[in-house]
Amino acid sequence: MSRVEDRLRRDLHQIADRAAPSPTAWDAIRSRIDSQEPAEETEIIMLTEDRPTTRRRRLVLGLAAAAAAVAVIVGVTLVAQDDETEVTTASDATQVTTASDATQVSTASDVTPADVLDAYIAAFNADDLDAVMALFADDAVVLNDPVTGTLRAEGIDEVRDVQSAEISFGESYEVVSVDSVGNTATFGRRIRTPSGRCYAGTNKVTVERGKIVRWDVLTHSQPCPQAASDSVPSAAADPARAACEPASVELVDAVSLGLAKEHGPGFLDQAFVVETAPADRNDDGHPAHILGARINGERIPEGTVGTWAVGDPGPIMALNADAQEFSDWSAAAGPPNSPTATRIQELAATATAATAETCAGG
Amino acid sequence: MMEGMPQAEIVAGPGPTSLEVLYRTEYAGMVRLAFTLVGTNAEAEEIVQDSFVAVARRFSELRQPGAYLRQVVVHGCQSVLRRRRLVQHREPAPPQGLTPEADLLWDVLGHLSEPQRIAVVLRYYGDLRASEIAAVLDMPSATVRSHLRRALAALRKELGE
Repeated sequence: MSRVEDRLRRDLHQIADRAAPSPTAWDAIRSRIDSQEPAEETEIIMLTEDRPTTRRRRLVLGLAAAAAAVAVIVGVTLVAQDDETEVTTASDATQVTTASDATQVSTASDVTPADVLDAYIAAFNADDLDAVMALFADDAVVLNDPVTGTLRAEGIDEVRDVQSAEISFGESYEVVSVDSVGNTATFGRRIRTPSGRCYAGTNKVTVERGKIVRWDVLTHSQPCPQAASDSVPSAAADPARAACEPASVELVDAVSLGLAKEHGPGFLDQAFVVETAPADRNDDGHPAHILGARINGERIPEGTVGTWAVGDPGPIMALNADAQEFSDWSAAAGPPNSPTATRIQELAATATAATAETCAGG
Repeated sequence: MMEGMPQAEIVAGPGPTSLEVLYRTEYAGMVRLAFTLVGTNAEAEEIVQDSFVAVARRFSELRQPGAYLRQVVVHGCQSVLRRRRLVQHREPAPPQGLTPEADLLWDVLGHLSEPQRIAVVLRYYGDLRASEIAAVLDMPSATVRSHLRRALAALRKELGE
């Protein structure tokens, strides 16, 4: 227990003791209940009543995901000594059991990080802690801070504690994008809480010999980006926004990977794309779109709206000042007056870029 | 569990047989919890009384009315904190009669983000685990741990410890 934690426990109790609960409050409460006085509606999740349904749904989804995962994993075989449930696939060489203990894992050299990731998500969503832990190396580490690289868990026992807590809370995971390079996989992950709220974050796993040896949290989970909301004027109300199309999740996740870490965790919302005019594209058709989105985060000023040129295919380029300050995509520009920097200036001055910024409320 | 703390655990499981029993076991602790978040007795009592009325509507269907009550109270505190931030742009004066150390802590807590502040109070006053705080705030437990870690880092810096 650190000094600041000791102090918190002591001084928070002192603060709490300054409260003076009324000894006659019951009469007031009883009176309000009896008169059926309507109270302000509060958005509350039901901890207990909704849980069984949620858990059943997640189990079904988890088993389906497990079946899908084993179909693509070649060389990872989970063999249980105490069979309780068995999921078989068309691949007769692959078998997954979800027994609660004594799980063995054999690996093959061609298991990719994406394969391990698939297996992890399937096992997690099936609430199978042993299958989850079978995917971690004994000396695995979890680094939990994208800026400082703070160690969150070291060794299989600490990793198990973390995974156990997350499984017991009833979260479910979904991978929305994966970028595999060598023995690493960087992936966008969506987390659903038991009540269905959505959070998104970016993580990276490093895999050796079929096991996760390192898990990096690159961006902390934030509420999922929303493509549009009532706070942004509709296209009907504002003709300037008629060209605005909600950006795809994949595109938002791709651009989010480049949010500048020195500004702390950040995420995009109100993300829209505007199709570029043919005259603004190069011979490869780049950029296909200009993305405009709000950049949110604890250390990012409110009202920050970035615009990026995005290709299909092609590089992502930070166009306006906010995108250049708060995302690392500005690094693509190179030195001033380079061909790329000149190109970015041209694109930033187009009507499409201005429209994309308007789309996101800029 | 320390003296004076919200006693939600007492009513876990089958729960109290009547709302009045829940009131007797929980009311004072919930007012203290709300007070550590909003800082005024009047608002804390109003939040908790509103919460009891909300619990009463579904009392018969709740299996853990104490946990549900705590969740409603924290949501009520969140509403007050947000309203203050958006409309009043101010924090209430520190409660009277605090030691200088507690007075400084109150001031520093006011500089934390809302989820960090709530997570800290639930952890170090309410004695809740991260997974329990996650259930109250409806966010991933990893996010709660992140809020706690960042809050502690900020507090260490601000308090010079």
